[in-house]
Amino acid sequence: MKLLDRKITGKINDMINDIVETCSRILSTEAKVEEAASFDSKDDAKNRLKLVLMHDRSQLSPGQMEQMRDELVEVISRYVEIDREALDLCLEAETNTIALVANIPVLRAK
Amino acid sequence: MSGRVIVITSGKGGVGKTTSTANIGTALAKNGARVVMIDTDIGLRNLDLLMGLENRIVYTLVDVIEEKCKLNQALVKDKKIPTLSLLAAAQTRDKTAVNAEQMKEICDKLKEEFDFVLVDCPAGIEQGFQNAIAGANEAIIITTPEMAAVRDADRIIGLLEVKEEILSYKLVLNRVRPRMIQSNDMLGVTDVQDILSVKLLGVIPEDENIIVSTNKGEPVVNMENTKAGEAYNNIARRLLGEEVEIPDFETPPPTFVDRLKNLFLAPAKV
Repeated sequence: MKLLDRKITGKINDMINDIVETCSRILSTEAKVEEAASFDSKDDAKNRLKLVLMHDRSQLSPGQMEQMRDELVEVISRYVEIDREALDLCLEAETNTIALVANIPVLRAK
Repeated sequence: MSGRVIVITSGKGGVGKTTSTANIGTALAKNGARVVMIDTDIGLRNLDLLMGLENRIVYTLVDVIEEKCKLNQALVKDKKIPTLSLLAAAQTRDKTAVNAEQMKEICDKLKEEFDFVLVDCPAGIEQGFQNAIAGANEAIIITTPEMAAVRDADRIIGLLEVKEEILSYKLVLNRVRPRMIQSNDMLGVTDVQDILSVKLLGVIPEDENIIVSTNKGEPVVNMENTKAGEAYNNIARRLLGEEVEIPDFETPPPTFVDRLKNLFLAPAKV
């Protein structure tokens, strides 16, 4: 293969390199990992952007979210006993709106 | 009939606001419209350079506001197109030399004489931005398929939404690299649209001719057979109400090598 490479130049050389690369990509697992990593780069960007934009649009800092969570716990605790540790409060994006989604496990009514 | 005042903005710097203003303005004028471009980036003016008019500027936007000259005296005519003019920013002052009310007044006067008043906005969301959008009825948001640019564009959209005078805003996706999108290493046109949910006005592919055109002080729409020039010309035609399809930059035509690859890859997909 190396001997052949020396003899051929230009586009033919490129083409063979491409074919070799393609074949090795299909065959070797190492190359597959590389491909998966490159696939992730765009999806990473999209997911990270969506998350950061949710916070930007809601104009809530993580600190304010924390404060809101504490205050919600306080209010709800007046009526029912809740599992404070398991409480989950987050922002979720829908098509054009942002929803505040809370999952509050109730232990027992007061 | 009164003209349209369109602000060209982005939030983030370096995504192509000034390049887009120069090219959309030139393309509109080449399509027969009367166009004036205002550089509102006071202290950091560049639109004159991109138009190759840097040696012809006598009076600036600030001179007009301070009544050192008449509005018409400050308009610099393009070298080639007689229906295209530039109102340059002052280079030795800063953004505080102008306020929103004064900008609105100038835009209102200019739209009586021109079909299009294009306002090149400075980067940022401070006073310079507020001045630039003050007289506008439409906005073009320029972004690139990069996270920071998309995030800043979203912020700008939020600020434009609350401004009642701005009746419509559209998105231009600049510096798109079809190959990187295809290999999933760059946010695609649909991804950015999905995230920002704003109507798309055009897509400009990355093109080295932009650098050449800047070097020459000649907008890329004046160069023949350039990808970016064609895309900018299409944007101008869309602004003039023509239906021009946005080409698909996400799936470039397969080359010989691509076709060979597909031949090898096809059985693996099954």
